[in-house]
Formats: sequence, C-alpha cells, structure tokens
Amino acid sequence: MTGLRASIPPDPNDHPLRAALTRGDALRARSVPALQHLLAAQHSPMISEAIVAHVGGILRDLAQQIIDSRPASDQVAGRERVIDGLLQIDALREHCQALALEWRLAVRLEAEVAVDPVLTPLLQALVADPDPGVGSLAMAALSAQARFAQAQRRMQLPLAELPAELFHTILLTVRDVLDDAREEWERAEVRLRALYDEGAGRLSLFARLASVAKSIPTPMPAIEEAGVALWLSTVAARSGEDRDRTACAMADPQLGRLLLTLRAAGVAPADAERQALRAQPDAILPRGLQDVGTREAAQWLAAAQA
Amino acid sequence: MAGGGPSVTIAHPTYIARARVDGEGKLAEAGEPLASLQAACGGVMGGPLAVPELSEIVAKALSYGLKLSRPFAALGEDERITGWAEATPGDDGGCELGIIAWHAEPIGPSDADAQVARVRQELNRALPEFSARLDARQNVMTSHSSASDLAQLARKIMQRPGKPWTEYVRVITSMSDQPLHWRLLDGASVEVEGSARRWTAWLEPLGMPEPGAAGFVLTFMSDEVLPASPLDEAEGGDALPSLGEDLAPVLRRPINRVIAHAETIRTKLAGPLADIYAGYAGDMVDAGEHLLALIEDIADLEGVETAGFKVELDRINLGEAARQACGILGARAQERSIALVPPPPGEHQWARGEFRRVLQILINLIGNAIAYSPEESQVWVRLDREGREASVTVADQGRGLSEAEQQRVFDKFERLGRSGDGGSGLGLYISSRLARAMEGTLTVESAPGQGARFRLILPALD
Repeated sequence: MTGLRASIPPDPNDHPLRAALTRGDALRARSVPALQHLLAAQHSPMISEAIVAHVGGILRDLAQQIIDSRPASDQVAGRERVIDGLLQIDALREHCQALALEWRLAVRLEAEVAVDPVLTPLLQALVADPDPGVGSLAMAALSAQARFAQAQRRMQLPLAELPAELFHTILLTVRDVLDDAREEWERAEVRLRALYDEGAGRLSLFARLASVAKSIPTPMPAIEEAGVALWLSTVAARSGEDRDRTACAMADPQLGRLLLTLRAAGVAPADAERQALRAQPDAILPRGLQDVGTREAAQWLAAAQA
Repeated sequence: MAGGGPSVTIAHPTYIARARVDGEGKLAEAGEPLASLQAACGGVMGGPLAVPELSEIVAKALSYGLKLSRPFAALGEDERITGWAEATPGDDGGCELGIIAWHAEPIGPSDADAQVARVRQELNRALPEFSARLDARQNVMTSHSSASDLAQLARKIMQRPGKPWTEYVRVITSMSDQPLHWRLLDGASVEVEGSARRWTAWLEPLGMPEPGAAGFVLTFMSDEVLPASPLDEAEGGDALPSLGEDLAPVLRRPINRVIAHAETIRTKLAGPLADIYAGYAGDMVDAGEHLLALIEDIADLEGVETAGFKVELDRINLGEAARQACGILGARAQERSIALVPPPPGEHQWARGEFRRVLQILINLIGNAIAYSPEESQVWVRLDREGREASVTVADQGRGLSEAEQQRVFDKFERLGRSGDGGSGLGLYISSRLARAMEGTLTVESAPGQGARFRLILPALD
C-alpha cells in the first residue's frame, strides 16, 4: 500500500482516479446526446439502423480493398487505421449513404411495384436503341448496374466505382494513415491510379446515357419505367443538381428538395408530386409547388447550397 | 469485389475527336471539331487549351493522375456545345483528350438573356421616341413623339383620335384575333407608316388589382437611330459643328454598338467562363449607357440654349403628365423598393405648357428623387394651385439640401459633390430652362435631413 501511495502525485487534482473519473464522465456525456440522436433517428429513413449498418459495411469493404492492394504486411492493424481514416472523410460517408439509400429504394420498388433493380423497361428499350452508340452504352450501364446490385447486397463497393475526387481523396488519406509503410503503399497507389477509369464506372455510364439518349422521355421518365439508377442520373443531368443530394432527398420525409429538384428539371408540378410520392407513398407533401417556376426552383436550390 | 477489377464489357468508345495536351497545358494536336472550338474560344494550336471546362478536366486528370470521363459545355462561334470527354494522363506529364459525345445547337436567347434585354429596355423606357397613354381598352388618349419620322403617326392620331393603338400602326404578329391581350402585344414588333425603322412596342399596365384596369403607357422604341436628313445638315451652314445636332447622331451609333457588343460578351461569358469577365463587360455596358445619356443631355442642353428654342404651348393636364411620368419610372422605383405615389387617378390640374417638355421635367425630377432617396422610402408627386399658378411637386425623403446647395442645384454641370453615379449634372439645369421657356419656374425647398421638394410652377388654366 505504501509503495503505491508513493507513486501518487502530491496534487490531488492529478490523482489517476480523478483522471479516470473525468474521462469516464466525458464519455458518458458524449454518449447521451449520441444515444438520443440514434433513438430519434430510429425511424428516420436517412439514418435508420439499416443505413448505418450498410454505410459501415461499405466503408469496411473499401478499407479491405486498400489493404489487399499492397503486399502483405501488418494487415489487421493497418485495416483498423484505414477504416478510421476513411470514416473521417465527410464526402465519402455522404456518398456511401446516398448509394445505400438508392439501393434500398430500388429494393423497395422491386417489392412494391415489381421493378427489377437492374433491368428496367426503359433500360431495355435503350439497349435496343436504333443508335448503336446508345445501345452499347446502355448495355455497359446495364452490366455495371448488375455488378452494383450484387455488390450492394453484400454491402460492398469496388474502389474503382468511386468518383475521381473521392478516389483521389481516399488515396491521399491512406498515404497519411499508413506512413509507417509509406514506400510499400506508394507502389500500390501508382498501380491503383493506373487502373482507374472513371468512364467505366456505373455513375459515369448512367450520366452519359442520361445526357446522350434522345429516347429518354422529357422532361422526366416515370421512376418505375427508368428504375432508380437511371432516373436519378436523368434528374441530375436535367436539373444540374448533385446526384447524391437527390438520392438523399428521396428519403427526406418532407420531400421538399426532391420536389424542387424535379421542378428545376422542368417537370410540371402535378407530375413532380406524383413522382415524389412514388419514392414515399405515404409522405405528406408540402403545399404550393404549383406556384414555383422552374427558374425559381433552381434559384432556391442554389441558394440553399450556398 | 476486392482486387477483382470490374469486368468491363463496353467496347472502347469511338472518339469523335482526339487531342493531346502537353505538360504545360498547351494543346499540341487536335482534330476537328475540337480544333475549331479551340479557335472559337480564342485559343490557337500550340497555345493553352482555351475551352474552359475541358481545360479544367485535363488539369484535374493531371493533378489526380487518374483517367477521367466527364461532361463538358462550351460556347462556339454561334453554337452552344455539350459533350463528353475522356482525359487520360500520360507518362510524359501530358494528357490525351478524347471526345466521345458532341452535341451542338445554335445559340438562342436563353431566359437569362431575355431578362437582361428586358431590363435594358425598361431603363430605356425613360427615353422613348413615342409614348402614349391608353385607356383600359388600349384606345389612345394622348400621345407624343419626338422623332421626325413619326410625325405622320402623330397626325393620324390627331385626325382620328380614340381608336385602339393597333389601328394606327401595323403590328407584326402571327395572331389574327383582335383586340389582343396586352401581354401578347407587349414587346411586339411594329411598323409605322412614314418611318423606315422597325419599332418595338412596350405596354406598361397601370392600375390595381387587375394590371391594365387604369389603362396603359405605350412606348415605341427603335434600335436604329434616325439618320440626320441631308436637309438638316445643309441648314447648319458654315457654323461650327454642334454636338447636339451634328455629333450626337454620329456618336450614338458607335456607342450603341459598343453597348450591344459588351452585352453580347457579358451574356456569352455568363455560362462557362469566369464571372469576373462578365463583370467587366457589365461595366462596359454601364459606361456606354452613361455616355449615351450624357450625349442626350448635351444635345438637349444645346437645344434649350439656342436663341430659336421654342416650346409649343397648349392646354395640358398636369395630373396626366405626373401619372404618366410615375408610370414610366415605376419599375425603377420598385427596383430600389421606393414607394412612388402619383396623384390619384381623376385628379386634374390644367396648365399652359408643352406636354412632352413637362413630362421630360417630371421624369428628371422623379428620377433624381428615386436615385438619391434611401431604399424603402417614399416619393410623392402632388398637384396644387395657388391663384394663377398651377404646380406639380415632387417630394422625397432623401438627405435634403443645405441653403448653399439649393443656390447651386440648378446650375449647369452642378453635381453637388456626387460622382460616379452616371449623372451629368445637366438634368436640373435643362429642366429649369425648359420651365422658363414655358413661362414657368422650377423651385426647390429643402433642409438637410428633411428631404427635398422640387416644384414645377406653370401658368394655371381652368
């Protein structure tokens, strides 16, 4: 006892038990609002437990691909550090959340109105488009969507499917996180960069399809015709709004952003409301969309992002 | 999926055009139509890649070291181009650029262009060559014109007054149903007998709650300047060239062209190029319009200062002139959130003067009041009569004028220390000369912080 007592600092403020007490209390204090948030979000479609789990799964998968891309070294410790690093990237969490929401909506539409998450009527028509360029593009988009569906079911996402900005950010982040194995990682990074081809990614293929295929109905095809993937890319191309933002907006119980985005894409108010209700059949839509012009809608969206 | 690359089945896209950008961002080679676009954007082969969005994609691909595939938009010579480009960074620090989609459409006036044009027209409403007050059914009540090629129109209206305005001119429209709703006629092209110029008609609805319930202000504008007739020039004799009569028409044309071109640049750059350039072009438009206004003022000044300057005195309704002036400047007041209060409809005050000169004075007074009053304030226009004198008063809630300033305010080129706001310092001087020519006066009452009241006094008639 005396020996132990001797190691304790003279100032009672520095007592190890007090420090542990402070740390424990701080942890509890942080957990209270976090718990409140989690409980409140239980019914929020944007961060339901399923979405949180899905995003977590995707982030782990991305980390695993990074670890696998370099010659074996300290795999386990590296993986945790990479996951921690990826978790810090806001834009990556946002992107994964948007993909998860997109996928869950596709699954729901399959259950409710029997729209295949991969082969939709419009995509089928585009594959047979008289313009051979559109046909082969639609075919490529179709197989990309099939890969996406398979990956999402396993809560996975190939690194190569990330938009270039995110891909680049991730590589830079990993560089910092793995600075003990820097040289090894740099060789892997060069290889990953050389293999990357944005144009072969699903998002790029659908965006191109949405912008070049003349046979996609204007102003907007029905979501059950186009399927969620092509529909979202078409909305993004025609409204100028970010695809991920729109995907998240489809889970917003108010649907305000979705309605304005559709309006900005030139969809008539009544049609926009019909389309929005397809995303959430029991939503109570905000009133007044018929008074909002397309320019006004675009301006409001731009102002909201500023 | 880790490690397993995507099994891409897409055939390598066929490139519409290929190009190579070297490590310094210079376009080393390019096929058509990319080469033409480079030229249309002001670039040359071997010079920096001048297509802004493509250059951004290339820069990003080089900085990330990643192969990118992205949409781009650009403005060509007279077409708007949208397409899809792939940028593949090479080992030599340069970048291969492949165009895999290319869509060109002629540049039509976009919504934004139309709005800019409309704003400009609104400003120009203060200087129309023909304006008329219409009743709610678009019948002409009064009219006046300041251009010699519209004299025939003025005569026609005088001989057979009270008809719908569309009967005096030819409206170029595809619709045959008459009378047309005013919104369909607003901005219509019009041909006027006796004038070789093409006119645009603008209708400004008056009254509440239904626009047009209290009639309309009709103005005709033309983009072309009336060429000075050889006869007029001969009359000038061997006197020195006068800025007003001789130079103004000559100057107006190039300045109008500068404004038009600057406007074109401004709207062209509003798309993919930096806003700062659009801002410069906007400054050019403003400066050009200022110069034009200055020339108009100086031309007016010479007019009122010549010995032979005469006004055509008539029995006129000051209430009508005041309401019309308020109608013309309503939009400008609204822009500054200023409540402009004209005399109530039906209130009359008859006086002796020339209607269009009175209107010119009132536009000047009300325009000043709007320009120099704080936002959210009020500007009143009131009629009055004292004995043999009829008057219109324009009162504002601006900062007011000191005694000394009131002494100088009607002097030529007096700016009261203001600068850079587009004024010439001639407006009030011209107005007071015009008032005197009509045997009236222009006075000011004010105290610092109390606003100013400018009053035009003319001989009253019953």
